[in-house]
Amino acid sequence: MRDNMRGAAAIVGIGELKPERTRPGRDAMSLRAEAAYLAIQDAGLTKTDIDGMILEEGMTPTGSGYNPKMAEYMGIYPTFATGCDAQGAAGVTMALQAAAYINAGLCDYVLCGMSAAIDGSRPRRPAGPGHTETATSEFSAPFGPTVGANGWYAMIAKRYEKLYGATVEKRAKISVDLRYNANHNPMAIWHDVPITVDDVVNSRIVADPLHLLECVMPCAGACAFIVTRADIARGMRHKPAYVLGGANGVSRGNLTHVGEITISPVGRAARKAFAMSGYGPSDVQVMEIYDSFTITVMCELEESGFCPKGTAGDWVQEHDLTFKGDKPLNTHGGQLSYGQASTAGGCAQVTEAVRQIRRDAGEHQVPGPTDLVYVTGSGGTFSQQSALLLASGAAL
Amino acid sequence: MLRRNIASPTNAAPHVEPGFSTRATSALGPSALVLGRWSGSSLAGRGWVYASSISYQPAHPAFADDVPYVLAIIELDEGVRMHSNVVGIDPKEVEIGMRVEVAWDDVTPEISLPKFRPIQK
Repeated sequence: MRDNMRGAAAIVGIGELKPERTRPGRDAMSLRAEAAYLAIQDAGLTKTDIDGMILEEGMTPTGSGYNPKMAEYMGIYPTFATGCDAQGAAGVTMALQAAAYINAGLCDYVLCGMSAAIDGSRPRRPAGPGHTETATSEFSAPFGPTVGANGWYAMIAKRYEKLYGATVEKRAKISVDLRYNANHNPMAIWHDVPITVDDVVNSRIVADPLHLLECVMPCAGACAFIVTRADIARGMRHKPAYVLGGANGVSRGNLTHVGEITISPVGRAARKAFAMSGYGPSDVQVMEIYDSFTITVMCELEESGFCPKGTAGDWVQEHDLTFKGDKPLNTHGGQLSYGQASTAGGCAQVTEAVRQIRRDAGEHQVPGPTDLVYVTGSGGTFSQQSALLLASGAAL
Repeated sequence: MLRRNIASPTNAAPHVEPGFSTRATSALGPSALVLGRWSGSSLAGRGWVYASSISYQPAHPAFADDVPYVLAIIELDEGVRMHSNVVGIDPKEVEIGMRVEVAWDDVTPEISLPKFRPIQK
């Protein structure tokens, strides 16, 4: 496998807006631009330095040509700009896209980002069957659309229960440890509310077998980061977070087309990412695992090689997943407790990894070493997942 | 929309990716129909519940009176998997592995949805 991307690029700037239930009067473009400017400032750059752009449309479809519209809005003139269609995996995928573009010489400073707007003054549009004839509108929606992805992941969780036995009593530990992390992060939407296993088990069932406190909720927010060449990164104001390895695993758009729905495609991505990096799962010091639902984390832990298939329920009991624990996981609170501003939720797991590597996470800084961080992204119904290894200079 | 005679897809080769899914069965699924791969033979309308969940929240007002309902993936005996609902049973009684048969729901004079009910022993 070609590994000339290993360590060739680094994340040098991060910017994000605190997830909120609504941000009245703010549209997605302005949220995204604000996070982008924060990232540019954090990197010690100005917008004239930005020559690459990977912005994702998220929840505000405005038709094609989205990056030129954002370039116009922000006053940036990139020489290479594309989108990203990786759904929830977009944060991780953009980092890999940017590293590849930089390694290919297409651009030097790539702005990546996305946002989600929820204007509380407007009634939320009901999610209904689309007007175009797709497999979803034809063969899925007529049997009842689900709120977000709740129904699909509930089916995965139910089948996981059938095959391996781990039910909400075991899954709940993930929600509780992540909430503890959020309780130490002022940026987290659930910063002020602690929870217990009983709270999770007794929360209402939204889609059987998933309980409310096992599911993300819609938020408004934005997240952005800047990627540049490693040799440039070394002279910049922050400690670089190097891209050591990464890959995507693409499965199927519809759950009906997947061989075994409890097997998620991050396994293929992880194997490639680890091979590129020269490290293995046991070397990882911090994990930022995409957590749309508790069951998502369990399948990804198994497929990524942290524990054998079917054992994640026990694994999360045996380990302390808090930022102070032996297996720090989703140190900012995860999307479950930090907040999921649509695809920016996955992006915030990338920026949190950078923060841990820089060692400036403040109250929720992992006390042990944070030189090698594993980040995943997940889109659709385990439709596409990405794995990324970020590292400090010490792990290069 | 779905019609009563759902043709089974031809070349329904098992979707098996080495190292990815060793238990994959045929999962070509309904979009093979969208793509126009028809064999002309009808499906028998029997299969089993591959996965299921109970929806308590209607995502669309049209389903407000239906909650709680069972959202499921049914694997037909011919090897095709499809989304559907399991009806004619208390949602909490539905189990993965349960044998089911088609129960047509004539939602309009033109449109019938293939839902599934347990096969009586």
